[in-house]
Amino acid sequence: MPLTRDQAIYHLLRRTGFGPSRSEFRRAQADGFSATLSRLLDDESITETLDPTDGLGSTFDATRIDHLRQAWLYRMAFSQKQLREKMTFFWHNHFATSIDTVADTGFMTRQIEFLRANALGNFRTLLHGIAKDPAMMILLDTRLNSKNAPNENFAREVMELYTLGEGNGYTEDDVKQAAKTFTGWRFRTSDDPAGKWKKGDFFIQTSQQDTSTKTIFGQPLPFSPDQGEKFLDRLVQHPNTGDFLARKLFRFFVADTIDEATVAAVAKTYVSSGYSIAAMLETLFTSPAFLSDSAYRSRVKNPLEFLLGLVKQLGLVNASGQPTIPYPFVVQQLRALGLDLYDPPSVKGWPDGAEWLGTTPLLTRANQVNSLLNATSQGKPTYFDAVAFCNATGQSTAEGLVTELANRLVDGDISASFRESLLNYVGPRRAAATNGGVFIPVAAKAHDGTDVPLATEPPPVTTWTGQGIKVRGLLYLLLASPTYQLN
Amino acid sequence: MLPFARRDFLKAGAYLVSLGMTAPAFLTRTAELVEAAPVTPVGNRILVVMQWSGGNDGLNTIVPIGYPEYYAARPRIAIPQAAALPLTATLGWHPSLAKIKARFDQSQVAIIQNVGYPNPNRSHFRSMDIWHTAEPSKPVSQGWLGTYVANCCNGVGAPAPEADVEAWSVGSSLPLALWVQHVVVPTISSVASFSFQTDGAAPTAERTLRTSTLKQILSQTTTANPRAYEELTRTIYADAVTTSEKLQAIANSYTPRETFPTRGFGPPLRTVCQLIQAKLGTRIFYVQNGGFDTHSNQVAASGGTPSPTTGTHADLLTNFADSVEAFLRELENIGRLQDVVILTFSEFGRRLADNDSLGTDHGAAAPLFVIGPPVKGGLYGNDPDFKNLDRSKDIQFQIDFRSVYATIIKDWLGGDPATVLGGTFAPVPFIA
Repeated sequence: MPLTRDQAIYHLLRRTGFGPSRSEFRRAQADGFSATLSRLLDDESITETLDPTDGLGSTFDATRIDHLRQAWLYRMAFSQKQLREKMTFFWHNHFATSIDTVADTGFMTRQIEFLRANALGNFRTLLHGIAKDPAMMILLDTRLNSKNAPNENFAREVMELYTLGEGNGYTEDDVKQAAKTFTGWRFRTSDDPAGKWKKGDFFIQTSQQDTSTKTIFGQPLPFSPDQGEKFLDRLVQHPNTGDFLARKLFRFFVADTIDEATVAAVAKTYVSSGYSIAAMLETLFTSPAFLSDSAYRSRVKNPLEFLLGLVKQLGLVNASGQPTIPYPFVVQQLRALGLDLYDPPSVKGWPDGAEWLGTTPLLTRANQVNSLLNATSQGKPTYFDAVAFCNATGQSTAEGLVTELANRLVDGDISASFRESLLNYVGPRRAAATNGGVFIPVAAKAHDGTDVPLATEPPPVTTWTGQGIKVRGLLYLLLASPTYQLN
Repeated sequence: MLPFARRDFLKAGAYLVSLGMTAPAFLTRTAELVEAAPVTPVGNRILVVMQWSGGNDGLNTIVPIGYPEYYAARPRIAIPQAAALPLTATLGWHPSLAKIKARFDQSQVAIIQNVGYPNPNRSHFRSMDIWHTAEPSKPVSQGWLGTYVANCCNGVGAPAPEADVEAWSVGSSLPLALWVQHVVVPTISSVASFSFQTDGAAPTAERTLRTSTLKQILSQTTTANPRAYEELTRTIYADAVTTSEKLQAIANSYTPRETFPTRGFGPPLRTVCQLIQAKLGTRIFYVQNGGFDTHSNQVAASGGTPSPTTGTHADLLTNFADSVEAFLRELENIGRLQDVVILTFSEFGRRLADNDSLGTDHGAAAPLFVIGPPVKGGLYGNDPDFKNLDRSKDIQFQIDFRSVYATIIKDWLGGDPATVLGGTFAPVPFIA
């Protein structure tokens, strides 16, 4: 069954971003799939209207990793360049560098800004830049790589994890030889008092360069001062690199089950476009595989997609009505789900796809939904006003509300039995367009199926409590459902 | 295929639990008699791994009292001969380990000496990863216990019949040791926390209705066309609901009788007792305690005079000994003492020489303990060789840690060490 127009829009926005918010959806719905995709891929002309302090105000401290996390979450949630942020995360996961190893927030910021600037750019530029990036040079010991003691760490991972794939077209000997091309690569550890260089600038300590002729992939690589760059270019041009990147992009954006024709097309674009990432993505997102029924909702939401998705889809606002993220909550809950930005668990990055499932993560997700919906402080909702949200749908019947919420939260992709369960949960399907349009369910069904009038419940402390219980429950059942965990 | 099969409570137990009652003593005793068979069937056997994070000072744990090199290298922090509890002519126990010594004297503790691996790495993270993955030569992303769990149902050793949860990480994170593709080992900080929270403002009937509706949804095909992973998500989700209900039931029906330390290893081992009593078929429990990275002030000092038998390290060992003793006693209370083996480890030992801060820096080989009645108690391996230190002046390893793992896998868990460890390692015969 082909996707409906709205489902295709939701699908595109979910995969290319972290939500979407209601306004993002409405805009894309008006523009259509192609125009939206073009805007996501070619975002240079978009003027960001983001708060320059990333929503953190004067308290922002760039040396605190949790502030950097919050600032990035802010961009992920509210940047108009959603695909750029998604790809920045993709590359953060690809070149997985941890603050734990780097121990310098300045270097981490520098790396993420570099990834963001080149996220949709050219892979050759990206690979050369990351190889000379100070955080990377710390992570994979490039800074320690010297003539007399070549360090193989970067040489191995640049092939295994960044370009070719494990054991895919290189030998142990290639690793040893390649390591020698990066000997003497260093970065400045402080600013030059005379102003000739800044902390983090790349340089080559020529006295530590290995000057022998290397043989890599069966071809001689004679010494030259830029032997490392020459080797990187061999990787960029290696026939396995486009294929490796295409597979990884396919899994990240489309589905775990590879469609070989699409991967081949994306790999072909890699070469024909001169290594353009945006061009590869365009091939990917316009492929029949992307809009196929088997790709739709076939990915397990990662913790970012889940938590930021909640924040954006529910449209959380602060006291002045501005879109907001409950930072301590989201940062803490991301950690609970195992995705601490700037701190991937290993050089391989985070788990992906179904590996995000598990009894504890699913229980945790349900409890996160519960907290977001139900937490109160001083008699008011801490994060989210469910009644206001449901009022804003303009629905005044149980049927209408269930349909609208399912449309907004899970693209209306629910079975008849799921819908029936939700309606039974709400109770008798009576119109309740009283009280200024506020949705007030009149009764609940007890466990045994008998009607329990709300009058038998404890009297509500506030109007909000009394009206909110059912709509909060309805939202809980949709957001904690298995369907919602799928992207 | 379902990732985990399900094991129900004994009918009587489930009935009583559903009424919110505690099982009467005669029922409990009967259960004990049945379960405390002389030789524990492989399927009932439990391994508890206790990770001492930070690098435990092995030399101040099992103290080489007969070696002048030890006292010469540690003028400030060595445990005096007179203070150590007797073990052999050349070795003594740190005085904080009296309770472990008592178990040793009942032949329930194996001390494996000088455990390590070739070319020891002195980075906490890397060395910890090496212990977790049993792979010193290169970083890999699969842990040894994870590999065991993933394989134990496929011909590698006897599976725990119908286990709901093969392994639990008790704490705040999942250690690499339990990582494996396609099987997600759950993490639990406390039994109480493993529950589906509900809307506190809603009346009970409403909350019950919400939960029962969620269960109903979990039993349905929720979308018109089932999506990839939708079934798996629903299965695991339903598993989470079942497990949480069992755990809440056990939390309500069973309170460990022993008093556990309130810090360090105490709370997680208490939780392990509850998880064992929940009868989910779990065979691996993993607990951790940190603070062993004693670069400074590992012993106390008053007025500039060090007091080597008190301070940070002594407190850590006391916490370990008290926690283990409470755990073993509680296991006896619930009739599972014969079924449990404890394995301790730390990512490395510490340097022979003390430093200027009343502490020690990262070292290499160190002793570890295997504890429990199924253990053939005693001392395994030679004493530390002070004449043959490595280049960093650290104690060299004599027993590869993978030999210890191999013994656990083969002789305790009934598995195939070669499959799990990717190689053959001479076992250390510490399982009776």
